Amino acid sequence: MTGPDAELVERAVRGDPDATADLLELIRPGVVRYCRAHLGRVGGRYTTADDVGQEVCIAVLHALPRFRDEGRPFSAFVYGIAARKVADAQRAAVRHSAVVLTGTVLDRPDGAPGPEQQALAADVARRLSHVLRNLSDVHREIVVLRVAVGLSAEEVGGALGMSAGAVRVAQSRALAHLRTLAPSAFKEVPA
Amino acid sequence: MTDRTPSPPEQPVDPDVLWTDDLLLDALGRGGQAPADDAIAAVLAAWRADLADPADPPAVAADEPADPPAVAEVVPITRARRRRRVRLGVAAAVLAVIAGGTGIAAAQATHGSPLWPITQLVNPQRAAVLDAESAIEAARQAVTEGRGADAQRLVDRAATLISRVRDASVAARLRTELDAVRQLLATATTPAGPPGATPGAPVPGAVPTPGSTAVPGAGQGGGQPVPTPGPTGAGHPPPLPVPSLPVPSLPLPSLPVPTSLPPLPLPTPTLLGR
Repeated sequence: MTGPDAELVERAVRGDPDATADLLELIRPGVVRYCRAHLGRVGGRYTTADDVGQEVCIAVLHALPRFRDEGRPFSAFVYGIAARKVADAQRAAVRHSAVVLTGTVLDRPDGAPGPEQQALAADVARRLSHVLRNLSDVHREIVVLRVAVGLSAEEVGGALGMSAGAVRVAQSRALAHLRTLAPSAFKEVPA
Repeated sequence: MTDRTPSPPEQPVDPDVLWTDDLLLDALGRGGQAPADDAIAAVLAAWRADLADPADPPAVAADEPADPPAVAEVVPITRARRRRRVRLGVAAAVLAVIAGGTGIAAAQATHGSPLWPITQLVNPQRAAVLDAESAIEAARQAVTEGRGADAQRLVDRAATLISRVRDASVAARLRTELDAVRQLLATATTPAGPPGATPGAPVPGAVPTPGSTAVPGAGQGGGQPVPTPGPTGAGHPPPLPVPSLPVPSLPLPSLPVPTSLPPLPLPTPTLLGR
């Protein structure tokens, strides 16, 4: 994601409804991927993560008028909100063990296309999220923002309060760490 | 946040590695393919694809039958201002969409529906189309019920809404529908409507066969001596026998776009922002 251009953000902050709609449409896919990356599947579905993603979009919408006061890049603004929402959801999940949603979902047949392929991808995702848990919080966040969301090193730096150079060093360390962890976790996964 | 597991040990990273890793992550972040010989990159690429995959715009899967019970339980979130309730409402709606294939319900939700906020948020383009469609429908209704001023207002509103629709073919279809309503409105209000409320909206090329009424003034005007050429003239561009009336001239009201016609031209300003 190359962030939305400044002019669009500016118009949305001023309250232009079209610009706001465009802006939300633009950030939503990244936000959804971010939430899915952090929250994973529940009951085989990304329902919960997508729910949180919508919540992030709503929160961004509400916070938009305050954006300029904060004086930071827009992606940092969005993913700061996303990080808080994900943390909330994780705490809530611990409290309520998040089983409520799965019951309903699993009652229904899965009509999604390409079950095998999907199962494989889902399996990879599941294992990777286990592996990611072995990374430090910062390294994991960098991997999520760089790969899952697609922010640039500069944008990640803005979001995490680091220089882009520090992000590049950290991301290389995170990758190196993943390479040491992965073989055991992904032995039989085809490349 | 703490760096709990700083492995591998904190040595300076080779600048070449920094560079290639950065390029790799850039590519993966764009959803690109992993290099064939890099296992972890392949895993990350598969992960990225999975995250972007299935119900990405969750509310658009509109190919399954609706599931009314699930929808009915949704909290009306327009009222729910507080975070928690918004969360519950959205959760319930999104869940309903995914679990029950109520994509149809969400996609066709209109303003009163509990799912409408979801549609607007998740799929603003779909929302724009639905808004326009409902305005056109309301305008048609207003015309048939003889509420000329309402109809005109709704026609104007529909035109504005259509200008927000980005899909050119959909926008064209909506414009055609709107033009039909405009014509309906023009013919319906021609006899009695006050000139101000009925700009006549002449649509070139679509003339309701006025040829049969040989004398425009007498046939349509209901005996009114209409000195203003607006209403009658607008509906009847073909210059038939004029002489009976002292009307200044026929041609004038036919082409000039009335003020009520909002800019039909396609370029929506929002496109530029993308």
